[in-house]
Amino acid sequence: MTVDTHALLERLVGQFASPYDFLRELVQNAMDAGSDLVEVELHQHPGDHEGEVVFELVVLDAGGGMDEEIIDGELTRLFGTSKTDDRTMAGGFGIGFVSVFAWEPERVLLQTGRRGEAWELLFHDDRQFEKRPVDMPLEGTTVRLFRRGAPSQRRDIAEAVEDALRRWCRFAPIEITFDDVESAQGPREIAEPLEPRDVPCSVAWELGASRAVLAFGPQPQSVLLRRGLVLQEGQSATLLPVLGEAAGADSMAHLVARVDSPKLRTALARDGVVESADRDALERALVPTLTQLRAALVGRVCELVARPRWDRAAEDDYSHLHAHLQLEHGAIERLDRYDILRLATGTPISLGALARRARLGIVAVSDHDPLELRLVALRSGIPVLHGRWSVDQPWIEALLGSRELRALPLAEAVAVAEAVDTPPALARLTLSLLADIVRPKAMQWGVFEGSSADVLGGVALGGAGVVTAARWTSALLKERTLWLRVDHPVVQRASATAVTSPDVAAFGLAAAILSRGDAPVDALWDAWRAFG
Amino acid sequence: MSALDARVREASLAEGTAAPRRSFTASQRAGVLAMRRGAVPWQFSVALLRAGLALAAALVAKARVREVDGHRELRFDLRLACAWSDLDLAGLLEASLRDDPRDDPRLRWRSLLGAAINGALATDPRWLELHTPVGGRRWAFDAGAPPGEDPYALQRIPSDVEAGGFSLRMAHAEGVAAVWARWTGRAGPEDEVARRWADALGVPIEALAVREGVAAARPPAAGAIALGSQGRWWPRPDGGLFLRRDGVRIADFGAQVRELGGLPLHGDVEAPSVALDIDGQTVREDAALHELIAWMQAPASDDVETVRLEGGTSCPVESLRAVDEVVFTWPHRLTEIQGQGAVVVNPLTPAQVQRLRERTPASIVPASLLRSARGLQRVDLTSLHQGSIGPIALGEVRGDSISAFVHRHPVADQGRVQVHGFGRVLIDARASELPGVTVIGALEPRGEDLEPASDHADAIRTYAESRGDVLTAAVLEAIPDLATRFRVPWFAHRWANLSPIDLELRYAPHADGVRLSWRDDPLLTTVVAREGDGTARTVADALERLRDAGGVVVAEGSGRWQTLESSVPIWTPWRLTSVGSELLVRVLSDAALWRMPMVAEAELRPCPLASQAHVRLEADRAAELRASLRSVGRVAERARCALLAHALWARATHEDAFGLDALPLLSSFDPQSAQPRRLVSVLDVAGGAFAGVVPRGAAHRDLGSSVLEVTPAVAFALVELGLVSSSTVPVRTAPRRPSSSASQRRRVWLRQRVVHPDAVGALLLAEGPGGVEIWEGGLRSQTLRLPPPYGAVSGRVWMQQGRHSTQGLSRLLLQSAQMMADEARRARLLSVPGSSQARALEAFLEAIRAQPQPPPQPPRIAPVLGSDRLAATLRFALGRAVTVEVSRVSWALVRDDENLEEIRVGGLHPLIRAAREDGAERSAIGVAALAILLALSRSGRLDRVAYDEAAARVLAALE
Repeated sequence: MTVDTHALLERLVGQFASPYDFLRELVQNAMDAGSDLVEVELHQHPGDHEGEVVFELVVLDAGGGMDEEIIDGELTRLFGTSKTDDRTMAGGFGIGFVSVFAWEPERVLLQTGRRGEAWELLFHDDRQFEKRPVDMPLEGTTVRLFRRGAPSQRRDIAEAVEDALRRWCRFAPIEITFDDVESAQGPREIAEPLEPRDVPCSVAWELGASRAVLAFGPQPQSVLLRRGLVLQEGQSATLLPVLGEAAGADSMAHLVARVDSPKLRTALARDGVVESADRDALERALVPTLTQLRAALVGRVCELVARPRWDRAAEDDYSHLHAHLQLEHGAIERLDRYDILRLATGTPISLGALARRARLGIVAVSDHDPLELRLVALRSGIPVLHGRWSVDQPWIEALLGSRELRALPLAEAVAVAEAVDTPPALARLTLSLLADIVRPKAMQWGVFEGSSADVLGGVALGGAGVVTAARWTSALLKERTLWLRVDHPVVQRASATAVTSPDVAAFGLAAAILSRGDAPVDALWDAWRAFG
Repeated sequence: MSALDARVREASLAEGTAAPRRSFTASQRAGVLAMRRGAVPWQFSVALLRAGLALAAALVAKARVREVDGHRELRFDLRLACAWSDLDLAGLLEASLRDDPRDDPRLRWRSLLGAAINGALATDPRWLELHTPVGGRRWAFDAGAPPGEDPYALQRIPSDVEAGGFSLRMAHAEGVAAVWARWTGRAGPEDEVARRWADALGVPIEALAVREGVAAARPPAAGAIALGSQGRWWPRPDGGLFLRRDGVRIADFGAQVRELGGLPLHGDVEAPSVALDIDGQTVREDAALHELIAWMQAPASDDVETVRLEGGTSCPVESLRAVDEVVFTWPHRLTEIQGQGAVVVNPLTPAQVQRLRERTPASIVPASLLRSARGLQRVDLTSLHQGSIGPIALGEVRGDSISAFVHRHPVADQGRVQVHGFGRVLIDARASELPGVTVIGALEPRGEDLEPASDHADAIRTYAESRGDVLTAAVLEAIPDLATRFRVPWFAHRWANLSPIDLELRYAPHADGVRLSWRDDPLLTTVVAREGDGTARTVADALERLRDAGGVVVAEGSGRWQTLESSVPIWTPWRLTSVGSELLVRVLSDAALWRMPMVAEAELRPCPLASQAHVRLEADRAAELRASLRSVGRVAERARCALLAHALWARATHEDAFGLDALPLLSSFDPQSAQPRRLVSVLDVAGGAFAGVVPRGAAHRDLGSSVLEVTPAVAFALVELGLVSSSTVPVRTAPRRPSSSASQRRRVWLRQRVVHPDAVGALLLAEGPGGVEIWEGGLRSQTLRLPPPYGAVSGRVWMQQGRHSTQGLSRLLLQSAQMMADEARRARLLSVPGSSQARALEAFLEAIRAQPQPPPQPPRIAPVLGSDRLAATLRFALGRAVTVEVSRVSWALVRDDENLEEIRVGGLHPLIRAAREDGAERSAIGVAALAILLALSRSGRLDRVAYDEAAARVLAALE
């Protein structure tokens, strides 16, 4: 019995996911042949009539070329590769060259030379070929694919060729160019450094022939490579499950990894990198690198925070770095030791130190608020962090929340208050309703400068201002003066209603005051009934 | 020889005639190793069963693990009855590369047994033995095998089994459990085998005792339903629908059948024509699968005489013989084509199709082949024939004949390209390049494939454009009257576009220098002028006169210039028609029309300069003309021509040029420059900066380098003087150095994957224009631009086989774009500040923010239960319609709930009771309302701002 080689060939050709995957295979062949460059050109020639053209796709390398023995024993012999230890792509399976047929060329012309021999092979669309010697010396290998088409297809083909080269070969350690000759734009280089661009920090790793770069980036896209050729790319969590298990979902939401190792290999179907013990071990080996990356991120934040003078760019960096750090809050041990925060005074501070300063459990966040407000906060035991609330709120709340600190903009935390006339009857009635609940000493109507509209009032803890952010617990209000903002809608309405229904106005005020705290409200109903 | 073969020959470096044709060969040894590397764990145990069932209809298989001499041995024994003669054990592993279910059973046994052994060797045993009645083989691990070679050495061994079965044994040096645990992550080889065999045989795993023996048998032919040429089906009342190969189950494709419109079917199917994907475990959707489904739903045993139509009616299949065409679909695919046209699509079973094909000469048309048709109704071309010139045979594109119709009516100015198949319109595309023309490509059915390539319309359009002269010639032939021709949109379009570039007006090298030449065009026969004696002159005559005389003498009005009119025929004045006047200015340029009064003999002509002393100027006349250069219009133009003529003549004859060769008298065209046209001097030209000469109006941006735009006489003179080359072919620019990827590559800021049964791909926020490319069949079919604010989104989506509409696709893409916007908000902060990515994301988000939001939906009006003043107060306070329910048995002020749509208050609570009493005071109602609001705030159902607003309203109501 013999193997039906034609059927086998068709099966193998049919496995290539894209008709342009042959470019990846030919680039790999060139690298295996020791070439330091691959040039790809798309030419368009006149066809048999006006609406038809002939496309010629040329792939040229400067590698070692092939002699007759290689041609017969490997190129035109399925599974005949000598690269038995190479399991990259199809190369390890010895079927790389046949991928050219997936593009459905009508002719493939291959010219190659090695050690003084030069050969030309012409493949027909039925996969049969003619082999002829060439009298002139040839170096390297040139593959020319010919196919008929319409002129309008050229742009699409050129785009697909360039896409395929960039997808698979952009990290290749050789010079690869593509020239859509008809466009007259000249050859374009297909190259990209392994280190990702536009990332806050990255850490390189190397062990033997394996190397990797880990970084934190806007999108968690990772790439698995072998000898610079892309095997698979996609979401980091999907591509690196073992690393993901160790790193946690949050880290994988911004981790960018590029891992290049001879231990990675694809299956015959090339629908992904094969799961193997080697791959698992490779991923596990990256776990310490991830720890280094986290440390590098913390280091960058500390470095920025310690910078004496800040400008807008520094503020942007601060927000950006902390947005990444937010995804690592749970993964970095003793994060509260590091000076990753900056007080409004410009002093670096750690989360632990901040928590110790925040006597009320409140931290204010200030961008460029008046000094007077910051002084009020300072005297009231509210530390003020530098930050832009509209931008930084998510990470500040997440970070401070881990220490049960409440963060809010400075203008919502404190206010500078100026006393105005207080309606005595309404104040008295309200105090009597609250007497058994939160027991404030007195009430004072006032004008609050710069506080936000929903601030009902505050408690004076020191100096000329009031704290508006603290929850109005009985512990806070007891024996203290409660300031109410005269222009708050409830206060305004209560003052107006007090003329006709002072008891209901007082009830309304008392209810509004209790809505800011945690005291039991049932006591208010009882007080009201007692009132009646 | 075709153009393609000519290109191949040109690129060829080999000498001599064609060499003998060869075929690929296969390295079976390496192939075996490659397949071994890709082996699926434990699949070899199923291959073993298949091998046995290839030989016998039934067998008993055992699998056991035991300790032997310090090794763990896994042993398979298969007992079966068959003739063992003619079986061959040579090259078993190589035989595994062959996989054809139609092979002879003995060949099939070898293929499957080879695959089983190869798969088993992937577990790295120390040795593996095969014992059969025709001999034994042993594969022993050889640690010294060279790299790349099979590490298993093959030996012949005596077999210890006799007729009645075969046995496979494999031993592992270390604990076999550890090997399998490492290899598969699972425990217990016997359990794994049992699971695989249970799946393959369709029996519960609990019913299998692999150590004692598992009975396996090919399904008996008796219970099978024949499925025509497709195979056989053993129906079952429930369970999956399994494709069987070699007697065992390969894949459950019941869900796939239902997805394709089939009924829920169960049982086992043997169908050699059904193809599997490369993984060998998924059934491929193709015509064979659909036919198989049709057979299963209506086996041959069903009634073949009656066609059951939609709605329950039926008609005899014989009645279909009376028509010339029967369009049919398999019944399970009927819904796919509903609403696509008024044509009758008959839901026929495969048996009925067979019957019709045997008995009727009608064309039996599968509706599936017309899936891409815009409608299933056959197209009626009557009106097209009546209102057009045509059909005009244009030739063939890809083997399909192309014809065109040129619309006669002036309002029928739309151009279209249609691809027809089976008389239906498969593709109907606009063709703005062919106004007033409908081009039809008739697709010839080739086998079962009638799907036009996505670029087919493009190819036809391009081809039809190239045959535009044929269309024009047809108009000229059909309509003799010039005025009527201009009512034909195609003719008017061609006439309006006739230009030096369109005519390919150029200077071609000639024996004496250069000579004006052009492309032939039917429009050149159009009469544009008459001479005094009434002789008609065409566009071609005008071009010839320009070429030979350097210009056309034109007389305007009815006046005669007896003394100035030349007696030389080529200078006989023409009187232009109205259309000719406009056209000749456009094609020949105004400078080439020598309008009377003028002396034609004094003009520079396209002949040697030495013979043209008539262009010589006196010094004072030259000064006079130089002064005229400061004027505008024809005066300056005439002056420039005369001065240039003298300058050129003087240079040729070495006479005094009066410095005219330094004057900017020649028009140049630099395709690289923002303002391409400027005047240059003869001395500038002598500097060698110009690649050649082109006729006036013929320069364009695609030229490779700067040229001079001149009349034929000046072109002749410049070439004669050696100031420019006789060739005007643009010199190709030298290949540029490869540009860096950073400057050339299109940068992608954000990528959103699109994964859907109909389409896969990705949307991008990237450099360059927006628009999502839709690709089908390997080529782009269209580009969809998403509506604001997603206009900047680009990307590429590959359509999958199946049904889809543009509307549905747009919806899918829009959903993906919205997901992309969510991702952009996250990625914006994670991007390095100031980076191009951050800026791009911010711009994208800004566009979304700037998009006007839809007005808020009005609040849902709910009926007020237990209507009272408290409920009204609460609705007023909250500014929304809420339902207030009063529980008569609850003491709680407000029941804890999740929303504000319904507020349930306790009727027994003192505050509520007081508020609901007859004649309750406003204060009681206000206090109750304030108390309820406080309770709602405390339970998180009202935020602080909403609470304050509501409380203020309650208080306001009491003022």
